[in-house]
Amino acid sequence: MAIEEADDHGQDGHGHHLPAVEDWPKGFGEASWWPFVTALGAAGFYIGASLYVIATRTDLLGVAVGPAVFVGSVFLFLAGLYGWVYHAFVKAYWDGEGHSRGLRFAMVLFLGSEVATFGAGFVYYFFIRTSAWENLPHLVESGNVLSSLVIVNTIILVISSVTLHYAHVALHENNRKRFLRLLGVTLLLGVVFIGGQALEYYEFIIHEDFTITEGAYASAFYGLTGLHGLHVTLGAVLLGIVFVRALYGQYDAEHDTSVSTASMYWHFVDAVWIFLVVVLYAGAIVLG
Amino acid sequence: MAVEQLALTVLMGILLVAVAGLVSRMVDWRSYTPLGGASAIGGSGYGGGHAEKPAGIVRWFTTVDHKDIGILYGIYALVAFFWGGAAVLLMRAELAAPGFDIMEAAFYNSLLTSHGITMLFLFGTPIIAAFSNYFIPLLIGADDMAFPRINAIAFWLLPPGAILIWAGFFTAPLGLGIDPAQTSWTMYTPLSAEQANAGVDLMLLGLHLTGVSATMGAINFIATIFTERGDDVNWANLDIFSWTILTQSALILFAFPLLGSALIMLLLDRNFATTFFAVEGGSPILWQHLFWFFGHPEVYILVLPPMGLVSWILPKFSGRKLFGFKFVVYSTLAIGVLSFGVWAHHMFSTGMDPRIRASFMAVSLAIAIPSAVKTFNWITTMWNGRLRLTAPMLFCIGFISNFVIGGITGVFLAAIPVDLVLHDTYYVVGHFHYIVMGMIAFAGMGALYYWFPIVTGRMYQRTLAKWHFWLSMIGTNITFFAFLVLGYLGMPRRYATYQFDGAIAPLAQVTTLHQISTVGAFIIGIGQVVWAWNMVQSWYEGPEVEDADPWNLKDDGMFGREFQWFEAQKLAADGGEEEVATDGGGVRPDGGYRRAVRRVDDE
Amino acid sequence: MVSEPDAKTFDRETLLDLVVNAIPLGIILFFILVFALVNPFGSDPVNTAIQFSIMIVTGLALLVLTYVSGKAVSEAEDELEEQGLELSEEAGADGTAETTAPAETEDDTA
Repeated sequence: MAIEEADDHGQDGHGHHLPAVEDWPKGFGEASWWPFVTALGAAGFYIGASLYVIATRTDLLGVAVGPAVFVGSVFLFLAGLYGWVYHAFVKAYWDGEGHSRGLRFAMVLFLGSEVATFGAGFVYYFFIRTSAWENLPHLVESGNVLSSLVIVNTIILVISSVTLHYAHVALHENNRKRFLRLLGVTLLLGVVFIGGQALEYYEFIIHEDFTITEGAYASAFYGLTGLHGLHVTLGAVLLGIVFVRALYGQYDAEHDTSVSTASMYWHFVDAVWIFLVVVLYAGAIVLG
Repeated sequence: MAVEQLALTVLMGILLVAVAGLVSRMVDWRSYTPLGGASAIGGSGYGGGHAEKPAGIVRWFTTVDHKDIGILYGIYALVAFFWGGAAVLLMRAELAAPGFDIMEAAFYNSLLTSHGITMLFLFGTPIIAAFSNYFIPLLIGADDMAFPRINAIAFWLLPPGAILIWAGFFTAPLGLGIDPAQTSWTMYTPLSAEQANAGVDLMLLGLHLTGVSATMGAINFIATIFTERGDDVNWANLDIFSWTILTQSALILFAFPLLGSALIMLLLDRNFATTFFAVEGGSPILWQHLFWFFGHPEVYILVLPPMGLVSWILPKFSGRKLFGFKFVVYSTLAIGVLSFGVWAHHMFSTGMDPRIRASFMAVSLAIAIPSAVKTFNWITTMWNGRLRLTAPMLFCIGFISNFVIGGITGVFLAAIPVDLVLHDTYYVVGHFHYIVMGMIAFAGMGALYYWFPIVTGRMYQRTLAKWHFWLSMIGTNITFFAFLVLGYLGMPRRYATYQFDGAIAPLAQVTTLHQISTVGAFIIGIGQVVWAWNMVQSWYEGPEVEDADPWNLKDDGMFGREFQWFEAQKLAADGGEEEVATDGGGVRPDGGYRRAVRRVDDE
Repeated sequence: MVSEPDAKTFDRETLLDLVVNAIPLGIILFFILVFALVNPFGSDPVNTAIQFSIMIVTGLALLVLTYVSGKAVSEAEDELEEQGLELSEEAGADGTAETTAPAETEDDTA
């Protein structure tokens, strides 16, 4: 999310009727409350987490306070994001302002930083794979960690990348109907994937008794799949925004910046998943 | 003991409030407008987009103007600077005598941690962001940053981050069981994983938040420099400060997210019984690898932009162009790349494989060259130049002088045999303080003075500025030279006391050297008080800058792009005449190619 | 070995500028050779591989970046020369009030 940005200049020289034309507050050129609200919401996540930690380590407050603040911050954050995205992108789209080169470039940079984010987790895994590969959970010793569920889920995610690519192609050919359909399919597949991950967690935790505290492999497993799951969820949100905007008639062959940035992100997340399956699932049981 | 802690914390709190109060008065919400901000500038690039601003404090919460955000970053960084400075003065006072005289070891450890984290993450990175936000768009001819709102969000993540990092100091006196972290800034496991204190978690969360902010800023700067340059700026004539910011941002892009992940892993270890840094899992050494894979680039993240600032400012007062401009550019890029291959030189004594250790030594020695190249470039720039010893210039020269000592002591530490002797002694502390205080802070001060007229429209008091310089320079060298000697005597770093057996080291000498460096630290402290007074007083009452060329740069043909912008602003504010030909025929050695165009056209 | 790929890509001047990065490359190369010849700690596949890859990867990265940036800068110089412009080391000190480029409102979008 952090890579999209824009400005609106308070113009309303467009023919579409939008619920709110002016930014908030009105009439101050480029000034905007949205960045502040968004930042406050984002900071709220950390404050919520802090309160949770305080609750578990002292008896100052109830355990529910932290999560409550966290959830409240989600709303604040989303409100800020909505205002920001709406005025920066949705309205600006109709205004015909664009700076797509910068946005695509920023997405590439953001993905570069994501490599580092995932890198730390994978380095941990390689550390334990080479020097602390003992006391393995039953799931790994029996090879059941690489279940049919994972394979199906992988296929689903790969297909979603393909459909997204062809959705983009269709947009370039100005085949709007096909674009919308394929985009919708992608979104659906993404949601199915997340559901599959949730099911896997459920199976592992409830039926296999394999939780995050089960030793070195469990830390890598839940750390990496959890981080990846968060990314897929964010990707689904991005695709959802793109989909809704597309339903409202935005995008065509020349105006496809957020389609291409969102799909870059999606392909990246897909590639990480394949690497993850090979290393973390398959790599754990071969040469075990 | 509790009473002492309470008193000290209250003292620091009062200091913080006082500084915040001063600063808030400095940024007079009601009357301060950036130059030309309120006037119609018409077609001349700047101001158009930011002409209208809300009044009062609302303006600062809603601004997306890179100049306003730069000012906010600057104020934030200076508040942090005073926090970190207050912490270290308390520490130095404690170390003036061997025993525990004014505080407990626990409180000393807290101050040590807070000083390091604050100076590096809350002062160093933001003060650089202050300059780059304000001046990069001006220097490359952009309207603003590529993503002005990302810019605003990135800033507003910082204050909550600082509050979380410092939280333990506010809550400790209340007796809630949330104390400041005592992990040192390196947060080594298992120490950091096992301290049950929630203050550690708060600090880790706050650090993560500031890391997110830094990463957003870095993406923004790279995108700005790549996509928003003016038509007349390309890679051949991009200014040196932008080059260093570009390299720095690329380092941030890979370093900070990695730290972010490592911090989250540590938090999970602390709260959810994972094994990322546990002996039966990734091992405590993994933390050191991840931390220093971030930490060493972080050193260059902090030092490259100050090098860029000095490379930009030094020629202005030498009357000569920067000697070997391209050398500086390529060596900056070289530092950027090599900095990712040297991290384990912080870990020579951890018992890692000697072959791998040798490789890190090789790359660490190689990285000394690009830094040395720059030093020679600065010296040769001044060689035979017409030096004008203004405050910014003095700070630049002090910077070079301190870098010679700080840099060369670093080369010794890169050699494994020397490092094994000096590791974890005051020698190391002396070395990097010559860098962080002697270089980074000095370049920051120099740049603050150099651009003070642009930001405030007023001139600072020159005499006080020189006092500030000499107090800082003398204080820095007294304090940190004593550190180097203490290191040779074997004084271990991080200790709250040094009441050790005389057989280990000569206690009398160690005590004397500690006292010398305490005196030096207070000299630095006095210098910064002078400086704070100068800044605040001059912002209010300093003489207004009449001429857009307060440094007489035109005489040497050194009238940089940011001052040209300043001139345009002043002209627009004065008469609204958009294109005023200034000294049309002036000779200008580095006078830019546009002048050359005109000459070609004329013929 | 050093950062001079081929003479056609870079003119003499640029090559001279790039020599600055040849020195750290030379140091790394020196150590690669020394560690290959003198090996007091014995060999073991993993650690020796890591030992050499640290130096080789960092050195190669430096070589590539020096090449790419040198190319970008020298192309940019040619561009300026084609336009008949004089090179300025420091961007755009051009001395008149008109510098500020026309404001294109080119923030963002879709």
